[in-house]
Amino acid sequence: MSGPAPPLRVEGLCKDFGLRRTVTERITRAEAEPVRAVDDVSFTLRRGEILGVAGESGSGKTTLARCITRLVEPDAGTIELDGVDVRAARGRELRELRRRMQMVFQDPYSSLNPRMTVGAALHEAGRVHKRPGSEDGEQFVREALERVHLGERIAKRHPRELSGGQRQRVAVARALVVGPEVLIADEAVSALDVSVQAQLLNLFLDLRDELGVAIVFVAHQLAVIAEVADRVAIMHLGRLVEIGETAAVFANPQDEYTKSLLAAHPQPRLSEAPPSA
Amino acid sequence: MSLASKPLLTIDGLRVEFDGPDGRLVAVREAGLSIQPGEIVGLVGESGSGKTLTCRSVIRLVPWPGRIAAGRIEFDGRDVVAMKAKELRDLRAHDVGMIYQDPFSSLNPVFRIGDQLTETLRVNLGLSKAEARARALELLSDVGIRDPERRALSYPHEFSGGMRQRVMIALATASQPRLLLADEPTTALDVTTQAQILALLTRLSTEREIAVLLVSHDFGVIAQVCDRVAVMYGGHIVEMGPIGALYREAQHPYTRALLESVPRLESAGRATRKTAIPGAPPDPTESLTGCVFKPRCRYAQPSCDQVSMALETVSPGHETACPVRPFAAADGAAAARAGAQA
Repeated sequence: MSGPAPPLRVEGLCKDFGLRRTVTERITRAEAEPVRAVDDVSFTLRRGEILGVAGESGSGKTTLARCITRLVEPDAGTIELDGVDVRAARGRELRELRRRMQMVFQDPYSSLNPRMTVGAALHEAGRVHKRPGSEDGEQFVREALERVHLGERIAKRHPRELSGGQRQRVAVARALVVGPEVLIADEAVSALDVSVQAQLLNLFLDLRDELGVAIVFVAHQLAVIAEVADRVAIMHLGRLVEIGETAAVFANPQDEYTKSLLAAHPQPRLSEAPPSA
Repeated sequence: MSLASKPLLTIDGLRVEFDGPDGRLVAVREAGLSIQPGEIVGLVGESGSGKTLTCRSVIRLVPWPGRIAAGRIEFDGRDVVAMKAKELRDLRAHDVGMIYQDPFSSLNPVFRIGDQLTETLRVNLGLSKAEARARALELLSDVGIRDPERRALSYPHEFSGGMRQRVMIALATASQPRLLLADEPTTALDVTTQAQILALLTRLSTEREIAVLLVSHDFGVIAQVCDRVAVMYGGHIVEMGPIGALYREAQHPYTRALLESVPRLESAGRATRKTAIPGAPPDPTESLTGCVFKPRCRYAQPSCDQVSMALETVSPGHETACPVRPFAAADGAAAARAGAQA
């Protein structure tokens, strides 16, 4: 788990979203106050680590995830992947960086092309990035599916013929075929039923152990993060309010907001005492 | 809540079918449950288990082309399935309220919040304009909306998700119903807002003696507010009982597997693989014989093909559809140990 440089280092990252000016502001020529979606966020992702990012809707966790891969252009700050400046990269260089950090989104249906078979989608990703082994499509796809515990029959199907859990596995497989070092999973298990969610969480743990990918795991459910993350970062109104070992943060939260989040987590209210052990 | 009192709602042998171009689809196969006045009952299950349709069947809101093919639904001694349009309208207006997952699509976006509430009150309760206005403000403040006079003038889009759900609860409870159907009321909300909405539901239920049928896929939500819970799988209720008994001594293998799948805060720092349920839920187009969970069950036996899915009593109020009872021996031993210690 120890390496020379952390695979991903983010420092002082900021992103503002401008709002349309109101009539009064336009008349007085005043600037609209922008919304700071990500406000001075810094963290490092260690090698082979799963870092959970938690927060409520509007806390900026998705914007943060998108800024890292520059799907959203950050306004300030540094992002380094293995020492390479992500913000300065252009063209081919940026494409190569994006290969090395892949994203998995919440809704696997809208992130897969409905007209492409699973096999074609997986093979295309490999071909675009000229991955070794992508010349032999069939073999390449079979291995990709195997990695996410799917049978090769899936390759001939279209996304609509798959269940939610299978689709999300395909989305993960497609992220993995290009050989990333960092996986950014944005609410990747939030839309799934608990039993399927458990299968997917196991998969993320397997990937980390077998392939050594580091994962930024964005989720609004604290319990989901508790299941997979080594460390957790809590976001509130664009700021990173607390970061630390998951067990330590959950057992002994320092920030008031973290405390309120943990307190709101639904806990069974069982009238009788548990059976004596 | 005494067990001897007459149930407010009884569902028995409910079957919901959809006739489509690809043949018949059975979404609810045989569901039965009862709710006492003022009681909060949870209905938990994964997508496709039939929980939402069971809930909607109570006021005959099964979407077309679905239909209630068999079964009995009795509300306060009245047969809901046989009701004529006028009676049904009466039932929906006065006796049973319903709230949905998405409060935005259930409110009319072009009318002010206050006007929507006032309209409901005037139509359902026949109040005068002024009376309805006053009552609407009362209701808004009762569901925890501050400054109701001003807020009544707002439009739905000016409200946050949590506030909209509060308005929906105000609407659904406006005519003093005795039963509230809540279909995933907090799924679209953040945890802190979810906690507030659940607290509001519990308070209203106690203060006004409203029974609640809370449908959710989240065991955590159910366990927080419910007295009793029914677990649904493949169109059947597979287990039902007091929340404590279900949590600690679940008798059905599906309930156990579901509980084991639920992510827990306590797992922090001890990231371990979960024992996931293999396979996928049953296809509603299949006709099944025997136990619906058998193909995925770790404890399946040849005799499971003959299981009727009827609920059998384990202990008072606790019933399971699994006759194999793979956990009975272990629990019995634990109980005996506990007894010996006492």
